[in-house]
Amino acid sequence: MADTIILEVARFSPERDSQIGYQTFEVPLRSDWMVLDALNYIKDNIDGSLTFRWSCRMGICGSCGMMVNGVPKLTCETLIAQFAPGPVRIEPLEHFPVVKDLVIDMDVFLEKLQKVRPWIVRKDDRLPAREFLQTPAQLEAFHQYSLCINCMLCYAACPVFGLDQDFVGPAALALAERYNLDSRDQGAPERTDVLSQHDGIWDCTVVGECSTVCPKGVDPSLAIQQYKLTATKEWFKTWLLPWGNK
Amino acid sequence: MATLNRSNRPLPWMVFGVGGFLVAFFFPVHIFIYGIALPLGWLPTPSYRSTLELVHYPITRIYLGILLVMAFWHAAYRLRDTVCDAFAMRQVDTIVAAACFAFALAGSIATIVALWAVP
Ligand code: SF4
Ligand code: FES
Repeated sequence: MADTIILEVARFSPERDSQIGYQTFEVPLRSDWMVLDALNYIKDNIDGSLTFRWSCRMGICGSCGMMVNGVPKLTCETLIAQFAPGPVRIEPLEHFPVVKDLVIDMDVFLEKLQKVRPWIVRKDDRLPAREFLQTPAQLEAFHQYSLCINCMLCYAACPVFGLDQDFVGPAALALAERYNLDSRDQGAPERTDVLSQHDGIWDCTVVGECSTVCPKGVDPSLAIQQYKLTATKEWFKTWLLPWGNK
Repeated sequence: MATLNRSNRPLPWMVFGVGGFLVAFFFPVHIFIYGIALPLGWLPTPSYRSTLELVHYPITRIYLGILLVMAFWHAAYRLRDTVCDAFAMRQVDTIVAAACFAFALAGSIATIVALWAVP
């Protein structure tokens, strides 16, 4: 194995540049290094102005997502050695506006997340006298969707979001389903108006890339297809039954 | 009333789903029998007359009618999404949808007319 590898890193500064450029760095190639370690090496030893987000270094905070050779990845758990002999191209997550270098503006995503009310909604706000109990089967119904760490890799992978920024998108829809399927939640009717719109589930054309790239094993594509069935049942109830609209 | 901005997609989507199921399930059987097994002589070739007699039965015609009509609507739904996304035509989705569903309607009418006309 060679002892160095070339990184082609996207650079962008809003004051200076009108479009993204690339800068090449040579870094040590170590078998135990993640892509993030290589970026930190650059920041500490070569160019302190290189800007990127990270925090936990253990695949749980969801902040280190970038395009690595064109594929959305958590850089803290992507071994750099697998790309030897290189070069490796590191870019900000696709489909999002870039703030600086590898940092994207995540406001678009946060707005969408807020819209689907990803928390337990109860009809009355009074605290229950005791905790809610759940059976293992009830937990199983939504458990995988609750593993989402909001890393937005699925948005970078989704071609529909690339074409239509109004699409609510994979993670927000999966999180909506996470609460809809939770036996403690009563907010499904309120979420319907966001989910059942054109820009909700119906924008999805079942490409499935979201589920492929998700580092946490969440299957947003399944959540969306599940909800299409729910929405279809609701739609028929609304149109066919006199009391369906109540 | 919030229901107003809900999509009307459930109707075509259901037809798309049922059509997809039928197509995936039955088309391979037809392709295997008429496209592979008969030409290769794995099965005795039926005469034109006996095939015609088979299609003459109302039950065969109903089966073929449902299968082909659903296939057209299934295809139209897919085609609409493909055309909109592949050619960046999401803004004119309504026109694309109308064209695709008109195609499905024409295909359905042609199917029914053809099956009706079987002697
Ligand atoms: S669904 Fe997966 S890829 Fe999408 S934000 Fe959540 S953890 Fe990340
Ligand atoms: S640094 Fe937290 S997920 Fe990578």
